Parts: sequence; C-alpha cells; structure tokens
Amino acid sequence: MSLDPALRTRLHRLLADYGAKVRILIDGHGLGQYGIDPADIEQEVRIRLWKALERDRNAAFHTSFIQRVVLTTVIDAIRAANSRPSEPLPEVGFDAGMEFVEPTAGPERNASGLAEFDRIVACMAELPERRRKAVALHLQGFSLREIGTFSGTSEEAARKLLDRGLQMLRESLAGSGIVGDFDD
Amino acid sequence: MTDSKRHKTDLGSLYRRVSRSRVTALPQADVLMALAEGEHSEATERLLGEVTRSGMHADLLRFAQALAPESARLGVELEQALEVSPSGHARSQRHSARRAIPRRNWLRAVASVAAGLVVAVAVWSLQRTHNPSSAQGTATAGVSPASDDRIFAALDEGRAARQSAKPDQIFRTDFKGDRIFKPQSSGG
Repeated sequence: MSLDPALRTRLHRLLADYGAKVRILIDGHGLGQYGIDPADIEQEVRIRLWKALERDRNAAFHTSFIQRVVLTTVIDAIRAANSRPSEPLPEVGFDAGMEFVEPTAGPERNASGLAEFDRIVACMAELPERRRKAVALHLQGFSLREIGTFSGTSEEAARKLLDRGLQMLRESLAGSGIVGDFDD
Repeated sequence: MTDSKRHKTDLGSLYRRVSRSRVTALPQADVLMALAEGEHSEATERLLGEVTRSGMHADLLRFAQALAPESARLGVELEQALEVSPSGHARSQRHSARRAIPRRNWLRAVASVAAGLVVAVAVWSLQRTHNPSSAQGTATAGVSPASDDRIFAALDEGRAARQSAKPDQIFRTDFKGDRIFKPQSSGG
C-alpha cells in the first residue's frame, strides 16, 4: 500500500494512542495477573491493526473488528502464559481481606479459606438457577444493570433476584456455621 | 476494624479471589464480544456460566465492555483519516453510495405507504358519496329517500324533465323590460 507520509504518520499516531489506551485498560482490569505483559499486548495490537490496514485499506474499520483483534491478542497471550508452567505468575497486589492463599498465613488459615470458599459454593448450589446466577455475578463485581443485561432481565428484576438470592445464601451460610456478609 | 467486621466483608473478596485462581477453558473473542454487548445465545449463556465461576472470565468480560467505546472511536478516526486523504476520495464515494441505497429504500417505502393512504381515502370518500345512507345507519335508510347521484345527476332524465317543467328564468314570459330604456308613457 502506498501511503503518503502525512497519512502514514497520522495512522501511526492513531494506532499508538489506541494501543496506549488498551494498555491502560489491561492494567485497570487486572489482566496482568494472568501472566500477560500489557506492553507486549499493546505492541501486538498495533502490529495486527497496521497489517490489516495494509492488507485492505478500504476495509471498514468497524468497532467489532478492532475489538476482536484486541481480545484475540489478549486471549492468545493468556493461553500462552498458561502453557508456560515453569514461569511463575506475577505477584498481584491483594486487596484488603482474607485471600485464598496468603503466604504469611499458616496452613490452618489457608485451609480455612479454602473450606469457607467450598462452603459458599455449596450453599450457592442450593439456590434456584436465576438467583444463583445473579448472586454469582454480583460477587464477581457486576452492577445490577450489567446483571440484568447479561441475564436478559430488567435492572429491577435483577435486583429482586439478587436480594432474594443473597438472603437465601446468608441463611444457608449461617446454617453452615459461616457468619459473614457480602459487599452488598 | 474488628475481626467480625473484617470477616463480614471478606466473603465476597474471597469468592472473587478463589474464582480467579480457577483455570478453565479460555473464551472465544466473538462470544465474549457478544456477551459484552448483551446478546443472548447458547454460546453466550455458556460463557455467562463460566463468568459466574471464573474470575478471569469476569475480568475479560469487563475488559471487553470497556474496550468497545475506545474501539468505536478508533474506527471513526481511522475512517476520517482515510477519507480526507486524496486516495481516500474513491473510498468516500463508495461509502456514500452504499449509505444512499438504504436511504432510497426508506424513501420508497414511505412514498408507497403515502400513496396507499391517498388511494384508501379516495375510495372511502367515493363510497360515502355513493351511499350516504350507510353512514347514517340502517334506521334512517328506509325513511329518507336516497338523494341523487351528484356526479351523474346530469344524466338523470327524470330530474332533467322536472327542471325543464319550470320555465326558464331568462326567457320566461313575465319578463320585465328594462326600466331604464322603458318608454315613458306619460309623455310629460
């Protein structure tokens, strides 16, 4: 493809800006903890998009195409990281609270965390499917609107499912001897 | 923070942390995008199930959601950059032509609907004119005689005959002469 220098510079600039945003998003969503390097992803995305531009300049640069390039790059990188067992996963900054495995904690406490998680999962399994899904999405940090969108219901319906699900879960956990709450 | 308070807020983060450590099959980019856009299919439902169990899938889904507006912006910027360039002129024309086709189709559809409405109104009003008793109801239909067809009234021989029975206003016999040029009989 023959591009005039001004256009070439402009396109490079656009892809560079976008790459920087992708990198910020990767960092912001904690994807680095899955063994990927945001800088590598940024570079790879820029290369793939530039090649696509060169291949077919007239191809429409739809949102979905650009998004697919980035997501494919990220997923491929995570897959590659997972296939390298000898390479340790980078350490992540744990937020406040008990973690699944705490290096400073003794084996008893770690085992306790595991046991608690297993009991949470077991109690959640008793919930009706729609409530369980709403509770699980809430625990994964999604908003009521997102829960509604993913579940194909309104925000209000999602709120009801979540309220009832959390109530049932609390009662079930209390019956299992776990006194705790979720950040609701 | 007391132990009980700290423990109270721990269950949610515990769930997230443990579910992140679970290794499951990685999602397909297309399905991830579809779920992020709120589409519903068998594949997205399956992926949603994974999202509820796997923190990594949840993180990827959130990432896909956040990526959409930035990707849309880049698409627009690239399009603009290529269209303003001299060699992008042809591309621009192709695009505008492509956009014009659905616009023309839309106009054609509106014109068809409008024409149909005009025809429907014309037929309806014609029917009303031909048969006004139907509008007044069946109760009055037998009482009041149907009025003559206005369009073909001129062909109604009976009415023409009735009209011819009346003397012509202009050539009637009691025509009064012009008062201005009437001869003065008084001779005065």
